[in-house]
Formats: sequence, C-alpha cells, structure tokens
Amino acid sequence: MLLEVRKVSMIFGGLAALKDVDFRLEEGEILGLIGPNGAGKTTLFNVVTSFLNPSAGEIFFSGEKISGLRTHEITNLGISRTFQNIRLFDQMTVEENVMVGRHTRSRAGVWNSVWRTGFQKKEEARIREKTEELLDLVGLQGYNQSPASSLPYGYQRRVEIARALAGEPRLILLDEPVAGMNDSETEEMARLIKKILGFGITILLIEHDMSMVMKVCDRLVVLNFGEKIAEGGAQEIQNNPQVIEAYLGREEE
Amino acid sequence: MINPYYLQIASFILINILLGLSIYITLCTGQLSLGSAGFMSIGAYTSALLTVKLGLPIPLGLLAGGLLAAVMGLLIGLPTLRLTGVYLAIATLGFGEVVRVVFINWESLTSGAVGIAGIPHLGRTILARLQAAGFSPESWGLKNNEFISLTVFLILLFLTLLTLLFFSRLLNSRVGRAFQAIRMDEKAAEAMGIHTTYYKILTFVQGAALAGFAGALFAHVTGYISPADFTYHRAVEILVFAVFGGSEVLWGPVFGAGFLTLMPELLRGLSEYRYFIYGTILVVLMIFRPQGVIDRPLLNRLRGRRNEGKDAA
Amino acid sequence: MFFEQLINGITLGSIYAIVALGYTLVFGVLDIINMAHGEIFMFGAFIGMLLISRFEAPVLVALGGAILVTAAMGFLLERLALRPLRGRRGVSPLASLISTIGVSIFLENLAHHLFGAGNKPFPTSFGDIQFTIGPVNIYLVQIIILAISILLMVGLSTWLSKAKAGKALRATAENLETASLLGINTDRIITSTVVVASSMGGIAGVLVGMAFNYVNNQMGLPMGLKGLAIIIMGGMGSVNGAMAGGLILGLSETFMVAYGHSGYRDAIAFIAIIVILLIRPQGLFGQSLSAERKA
Repeated sequence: MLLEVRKVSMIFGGLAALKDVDFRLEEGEILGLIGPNGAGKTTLFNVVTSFLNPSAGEIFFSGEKISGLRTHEITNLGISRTFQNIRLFDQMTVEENVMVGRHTRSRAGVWNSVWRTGFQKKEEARIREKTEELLDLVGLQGYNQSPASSLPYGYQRRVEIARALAGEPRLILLDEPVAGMNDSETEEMARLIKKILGFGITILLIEHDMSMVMKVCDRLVVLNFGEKIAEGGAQEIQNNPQVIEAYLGREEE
Repeated sequence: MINPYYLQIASFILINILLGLSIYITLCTGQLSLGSAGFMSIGAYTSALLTVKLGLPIPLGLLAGGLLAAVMGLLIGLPTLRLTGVYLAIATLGFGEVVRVVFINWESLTSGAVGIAGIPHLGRTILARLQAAGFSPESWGLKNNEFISLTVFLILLFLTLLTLLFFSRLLNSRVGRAFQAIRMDEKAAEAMGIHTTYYKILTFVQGAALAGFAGALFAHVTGYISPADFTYHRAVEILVFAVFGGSEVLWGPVFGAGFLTLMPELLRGLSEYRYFIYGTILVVLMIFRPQGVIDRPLLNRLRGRRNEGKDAA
Repeated sequence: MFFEQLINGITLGSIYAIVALGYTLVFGVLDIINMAHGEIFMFGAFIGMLLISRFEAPVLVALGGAILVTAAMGFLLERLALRPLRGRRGVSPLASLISTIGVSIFLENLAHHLFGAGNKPFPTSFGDIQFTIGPVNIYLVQIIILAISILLMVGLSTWLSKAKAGKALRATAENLETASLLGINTDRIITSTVVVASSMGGIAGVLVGMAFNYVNNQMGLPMGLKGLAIIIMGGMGSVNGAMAGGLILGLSETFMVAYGHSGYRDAIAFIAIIVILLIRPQGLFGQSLSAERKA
C-alpha cells in the first residue's frame, strides 16, 4: 500500500471541505478521484502535499506518516504533483522549468556551484540529459528554449507533467490534466499517462472527462461535498445511484 | 595619466556595485530588504573599531565586518521569514533605523554622531608597508597619491570581479534556479522539493554579508564614518541602483550603480536635484518598466542571441 | 508631574493616531502602504507654519490651508503614481511600495528646496495659556489638539459606519471587484480615500507644529515610520487599532523621555515594528494574515 488517506477532514471556518475521507492507493495503480465541481478533490491534493494542514486525519506514504511534514519534504519522499490552474514558472523557459523539477534528485549546493566542481558539472549534464529525455517523452522536443508562458495551454500542461516527472516520483498527483483539451489531445494525454504507469509510477488522477477516466483508471473514488460516496471499479461506479445523483444534481462542466 | 580623482569615483562606483548586488541577491528570492544601510553600517563600524581601537590589520577588519553583518542578517532573517513582501520591507526598514539610532546613542563605543575618524586607509596603509620595505612609487613613475588611488581602485576592482564571478556561477546553477523558482512562485517551488526557508535565509544572509563587507570597504576608503552615512536615504539609494539598473539580472545593479554614481559627477548641476531624480525614476519605472533598464531580453539582444533567456546573469 | 506627562502622552498619542489612521485608510482600500504619507504630513506642517508666520493667519486658516494642500497632494499621488499600477496583471505588490518610496524622497527633497533646512518656528498666539485643574497643569494648545483629534477620530468612525460613502469605502476595502459590481464607483472611492487620508496627515502636521512649536523638513521620515509601527501594532486596516496603537506609542515615548533615555525615543517605534511583526503580525486588532491577505 503506497498511499493511505486516513479519515482526513478539512474545515474552513465552519465549512467542511473534506469530511472523514478515507481510502488507499496501491503501488502501480491509477486511482481516479472524481466528483462534481467543488467536491474537494483539489483540496485533498493540497492536504496530501501539505499545502494545507488537515483539521483531522492522517496521511501515510509507504507506511510513514507524512501529514505534518513540509511540502518540500513530501516531494523529496517521492510525491509530485501538477496543478489545476497550471503553475509553471512563467518567466522561465520550458527547459528551465523541467530542470527545476529535477531539484529533488540533485544535490549541488553553494560550494559545488560556485567552484564548478567535477561533481557539479556531471550533475548539471545529467540534469540536462534527463530534461531532454522528459521533453521527448511528452512530445515537446525542440521547445527547450521557449518561454514557458508562450506555449499553448495543452503544451503547458505537458511541461508541467515533464517537470513533475523530473523528480522521479513514486507517486504523481495529476490535477485535471486534460481540462480544456479536445479529443485528440485527450487521447495523447491518455497514452502519456499509460506510459507513465509503465515506468512503475503510481498515479492519483483528478479528472472530469468521464470517458478518459473510465478508460485509464483501475479504480475510482468519488467525492461529493467533501465526503467519499463511492469507491470501486469503473463499471460499479457508473451504475452507482448515489454517484449518478451527485452528478445529475449539479451542473456538469 | 593616472587621475586620482577619476580613480576615486571609479572606486565608489565599485563599492556601490557591491551594495546594489546586496539588495539584488535578496530580490532573487523575492525578498525586498530595506535594511542594507543597517548592515552596511554594521560592517563599517565593526571594521573601523577593530582597526582603530584594537589595531587589527585591515583584511581582518573587512572579514569581521562582513561576518558580523552576516550574523546579524541571520538573526534578523530567521524570524522575519514568515513575513512577505511589504511586511518584510518594513521590518528591515525598522531594523536599519534601530541600528542607526543605537549607533548614534552608544557613544562610548561609536562616538555617536561625531563618528569615527582616522580609520586606516586602504591605499595609504599599503603604501606605508611597501615604503617600509624599501619600495617607492616613483620607481614606477607615480606620485604617492596616484599610487594610493590606483591601489585602492585595483583592490576594489578585484574584489568586485570576484563577487560577480561568485554570484554569476551561483545564479547559473541548481541553486540559482531554486532562487528563481522561489521568486516566481514560492509554493510551486516548494512542491518541486525546494527547501524555500533555507534558500530565502541564504540570500538574506548573503545580502547582509555583502552590504557589511561593502560598508567595511567604505570605511577604509574614506577614512571617516558617522551615522549620517548610513541613513534611510542610503538604503533608498541602494534600492534605486537595483531597481533602476535592473532587478532581474546580475548586470542590472552593476549598470544601475555605475550609471547613477557617474551621472551626478558628469552632470554637476543636477547633483542637487539627485533625490528629485531618484524619486521620479522610481515612480516612472514602476509604471513603465518595473523590471529596470537591463532585463534578460535586452541582455540577450546585446549579446546577439535571440530570446534564449538561459543565463541568469 | 505624572499627570502632566500623562497629558503629554495622550496629546502626542492622539496626533500619532491621526497619522496612523491615514495609513490604515489607504491600506484598507488599496492593500498598499503609502510610504509618502510621512512627507505629506510634513508638508501639512509647513503649510500651516507658513500661513501662521508669514500671513499671521489664525489656526483655523492654517488648518484649512494644510488640508487643501495635502488633499491635493494625495489626489496627485493617487492619480499619477498609484492608479497606473492598479489592475495591471503581473505587477508585484512591491511596485506600489517602491513607487511611494519614490514619491517620498521626491517630496522630501522638494521641501528641502522650498523651505530650507533646520527647524522653523511654529508660533501659536495662545501657546502660553494654561489651566490648572486640581493637581494638573494643562495647556490650551493641548486641549485644542485633543479636541481636534477626538473630533476627527469620532467623525471618521461614524462616517465609516453610518454614512453611505463611508460604507461604500468599507465595501471597497473588503472586496474591490464585488464593490464595483455592486455599482460603487471604486475609482472615485479610492481617490477620495487617499485624499482624505492625506489631509488627515496634513492636519496632524499642523497639530505637531502647535504641540512642539517648530517644524523641520526631516520630520517626515520618523513620523512615517512611527505611523507604520502603529498600524502594525494595531493591525493593518483596523481603525480601532490605529487609534489604540497611536495612544500606546505616544504614552510610551513620553514616559521614556521623561524617565531617562530620550535618545532612544525614536527606537521604540522601530523596535516595536520588528517585535510585533515577529510575534503577532496581525497586530492587536487585526485578523490572521494567512488566509485573507494576498499581499
């Protein structure tokens, strides 16, 4: 069991954004986190990565408790994420963004950097190599020097994924990776996600595009108004009356 | 041929470059520190007192000045970490004023508003040592004062180039990328595994050390310091070097310090209106070109490259 | 002696409170610190001084003149330096801070050229009149200062809570976008706020002249920093905080001077800034900064 979310609650001034959410994620699987808008999915990501401190409950990663650690420590343990609203470092180039993602798997500090030691030079070369590989993987070869903000939306998402992968995570949290994409782009993204899975990386996916979710995910967890209302395989969930109601009762995106 | 007056101006340009860099380096992680005058004065007074009252050699004084400023930077930087933007700027401003008031009032140590005179001069001390060993500037065709100004200038030039090399390498590395990431989006940077607290303190302390070191140099180049040299005006002036010159690239503060130190000399008539000009520059810049004169695209164009944006320097 | 110092402290404190209110108002609607506030205060003092010593105007005219000039300065500040920065994407919050720093040094230099250096006397015709109530000696000047300050503070508080424009100001302070969607002319509110805040600075300047009998073109910076210390202490954007903080600072300074260490008087404010920011950044009356402020 790679990730355990144990009875997590998140309360903002009286309003429960998450209530007793509880589920497990096994190594090597893709778990889809779905639910209507405002169900608390991104909030859950924020709690797992310590952008927020849960009001109650705990998170365990590989058996170790990570709730209460700082965000960068959690990343160092092997959890990466992308953001719903794409948070690239927009004054940097594509290449630089991905290189920053590699920070957690590199070590050169002030001393090594200033003296340009052999260690640092080798590490920089390795970072660039890895960056090149990742850009290739997401289909952005040649875009290295482009300013990140100048890329079309879909490409920016891919940069974010490359950046998240640069940290060699064991678990990656993808927040609506195909939002705003057309069918063929969504297809490509689905293929990329399968490739990532093929590397042995576990994936927790938030997404609204149901057909993609059903195709790609092994299991699903459904949130509504901050509570888990269902968990199971794609078929089960599709036929679950509570899930149907939750979606019908709200505006579909 | 060697004009001591020009060399002196050049020397002040170099010290101002160091000061401009001190505020630039903290800006690299998105922190605006208005306390540079305070750190500068700590360095200056430390070195001045150690050399005047304890007779320590100048290099030791310089190091001690930078070190003590660095320690103060750490003491101030740690607790103020949680402050962002405006709050940090005000806290550092407050710190600078506290230092100034303390130095004015602690007369037993600092002689208060009167200041400290007779600080060993960098050039004259070296000349005296060399003369004692039998050397005479005439053998190089130089008068004494020419030799002195030349020596000071060359030492400062060496130190400044060293500093620029240090930061150029630092900023163009994994550490530099971490700085930039923090500056652009601190939370996202943390999500990359960047220990933002560590890097923010790092730049804050580096800025403090640099300002302190520059302050110590200032003491040994002018021979006399008083609290009036380290007022809020000084902090604003240093701010203008970086903000005007360019707050996003290493060469920005270099250009800013050079240009703004030189201009009052070239345009003598205007030096009275210096602060009018500084004030107007700040307001106009924020509206039309907040990143300052020198930014990455300009730098790349000057280097004949097309919009690469690779180097931080 | 103690009561005299108490009155001195309260008088000073109420002037500080007015300066702090100027900061608080602007911070409330614009989320920015107007670093030029101290210099505007100083200009108010000088205008008052000029009117009284050159034209032998009565105090009321001096106040009126100071209000007019500083209000105009506030207007120019908002239109020329602050408005162009509003609503621009990607503008760092530090930009307005830096811009107002620019204005402050411009103004300080302007004062230097217009009024010259050194202390200029600020005579008040009734400066010597005092009353004795029980064990206490109180000057007419102090009574007047207190009266004006209280009037101002009560007036402002009432206006903010009752008057339509005042409520509009609070709405704008709370949420700019929503307020404008509700039909509030936010631009006008913002300009008026800066104008009102600046004229309060101007009034405070005249009061300081009356209290100390001199003005100096260097008085802007220390007052500016003290105003900052007060709103940080009281909580940025809190009217009550500004008033409470002002009083506290006025009393602390007065007693520190009276009982020994006058040289460090100015340092109290600065140290307070640092300490408060470290222990309780939201001040005495402010809300927690983390969730709300996007600064």
